[in-house]
Amino acid sequence: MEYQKLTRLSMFLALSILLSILESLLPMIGGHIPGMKLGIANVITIVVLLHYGYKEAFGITILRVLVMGILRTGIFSTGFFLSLGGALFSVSAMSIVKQSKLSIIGISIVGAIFHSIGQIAVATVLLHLPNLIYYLPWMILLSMLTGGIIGYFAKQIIRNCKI
Amino acid sequence: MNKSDQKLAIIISFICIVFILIFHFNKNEQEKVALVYYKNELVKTIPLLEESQEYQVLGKNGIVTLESKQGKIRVKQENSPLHICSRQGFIQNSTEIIVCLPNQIVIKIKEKDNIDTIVR
Amino acid sequence: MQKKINKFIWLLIPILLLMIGILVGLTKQHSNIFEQNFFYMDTYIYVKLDEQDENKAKKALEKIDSIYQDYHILADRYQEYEGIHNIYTIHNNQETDDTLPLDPRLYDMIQYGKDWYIKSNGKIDISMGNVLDVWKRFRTNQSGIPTLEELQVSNTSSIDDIILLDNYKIQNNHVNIDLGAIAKGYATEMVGQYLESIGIKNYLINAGGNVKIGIPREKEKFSVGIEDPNSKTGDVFKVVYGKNISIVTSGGYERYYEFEGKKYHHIIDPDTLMPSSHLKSVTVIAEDSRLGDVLSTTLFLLPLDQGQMLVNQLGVEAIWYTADNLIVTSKGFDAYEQK
Repeated sequence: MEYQKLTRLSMFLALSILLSILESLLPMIGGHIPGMKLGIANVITIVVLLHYGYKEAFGITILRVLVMGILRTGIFSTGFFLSLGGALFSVSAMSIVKQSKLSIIGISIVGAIFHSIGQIAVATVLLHLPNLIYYLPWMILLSMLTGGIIGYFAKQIIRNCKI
Repeated sequence: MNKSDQKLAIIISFICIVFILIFHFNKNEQEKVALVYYKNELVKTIPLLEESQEYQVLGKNGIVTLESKQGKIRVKQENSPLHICSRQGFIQNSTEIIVCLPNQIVIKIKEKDNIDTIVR
Repeated sequence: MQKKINKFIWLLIPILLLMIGILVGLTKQHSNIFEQNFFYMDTYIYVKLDEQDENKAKKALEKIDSIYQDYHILADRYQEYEGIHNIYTIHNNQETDDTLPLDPRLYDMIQYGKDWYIKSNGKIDISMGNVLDVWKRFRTNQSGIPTLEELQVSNTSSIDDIILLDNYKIQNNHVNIDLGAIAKGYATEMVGQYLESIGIKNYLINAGGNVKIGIPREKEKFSVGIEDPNSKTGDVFKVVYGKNISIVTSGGYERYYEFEGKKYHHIIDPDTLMPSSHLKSVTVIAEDSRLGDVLSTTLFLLPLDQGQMLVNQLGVEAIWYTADNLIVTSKGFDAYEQK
């Protein structure tokens, strides 16, 4: 990988970690669902996905989750797997719809929806709580909102910043 | 935001609302459950729903027929000299209990989900 | 070739991690519940164990059955059992010896009862069997209430007539002993200790007003509801949360009979020889179920302020439900109201 790309990606990684840390300082918006969050760091994920490609997006995301695991949730703790599951579902879904007719905002919304689905799936299996599925429709509705907002920011960054 | 986004948002929102409504109207009926014991072992767990439903368990003197409806349960038919437990009628909350001594069947209602037990 | 491998590495690593996570999740232990009902000491007893080893659980339930059965036999005032000296034997035996040998468990319960006569300012008096028999007669026949004379006349023994000697023997004074405030707590505590000793820590016992809980499996504390004495539908007026603790309630709202519009319950005050009337129920939270049982009866009979002092001295918690429907809690009680 050429140096410029490597340094740029490292910067993006650092930025997404920073955003994640800032977000963890906010009060929990999810209530009893651990790991429910705004996903501000996904702004970076989307930018990287659209500017470079899905491999780079996966890489950045996984590394971010790992670092946050060391810093906050605890490696291999329940929170870590929730984060990882949500992130993987999210990036996969966004990679698939990247080519579709959806705008940046639409892609972000899809990412947010699948992030929630991924979290609930992992939580249901790990915590043996089949009742969590009742939360899913509400979480998806909420995710569409946050996804839209994150997507808007991503759009502005892509449009206005020279990457 | 373009047309595709809007279509996506509308479809997903619609699906979510549909599920929310389905869950809402189904959840309450799963709350009350009757526990049936034979010789002190739990042999059957019966959800107490609105519609009338019959169940059969094997008691010491033969088959015991139970009926559940409208969140209540009773012993409908059993073989015993005095038929005390089938004459008892319906029970519906966790303070009540049906005991069929000849058949060694005990029926009680499970406590509300968020309390493990009640000290009386 | 190199490029192709690179492409898929990105996907492989996270999927591997996720698979490890799911495996970890699946091997984590589920609940495995064993429950059983017993009927001893005139009470419906419920035991629930959460234990992976099925044989261990089933053997434990058998042992629990025998523990409750033993205490039932020892504390049985109305029936004789061959080869066993129980409460009935103490009262009715025709032996000529001055002393009677007792099962150590029965000896301990009687000693406990004697100790508590003093600690309870005389409210726990295990020598009052005759008085209780009079009340039982009237309650069974539903023929009114006994007069004070009848009760006083029957009260021929006092606590001092119960004399315990070395080597688990009792002076053969034929006292009509009643262990109603002690036996259930004792048996339940023994069951709890037995379960701990064999390594079963996830248990819940509800012996009709005597609850003893260990640690739940998939959450931090058990939740126990306290029945509202005024509710006709068995509703709860307070929920407490805890682990490795006993919760015992004494109340007049379950066993009583009515005569001329008044209710007469089964907890008799040794000072008045009548059922107490200033409280509808009291619930004690203590580690030891024996303490919980005897203290809940004590507090049900003591005036509220004396009860509060006793609770403070003993370092346990309690909640009183008075006849005027006031709810009073001990100082540290709210620690048990947190999930």
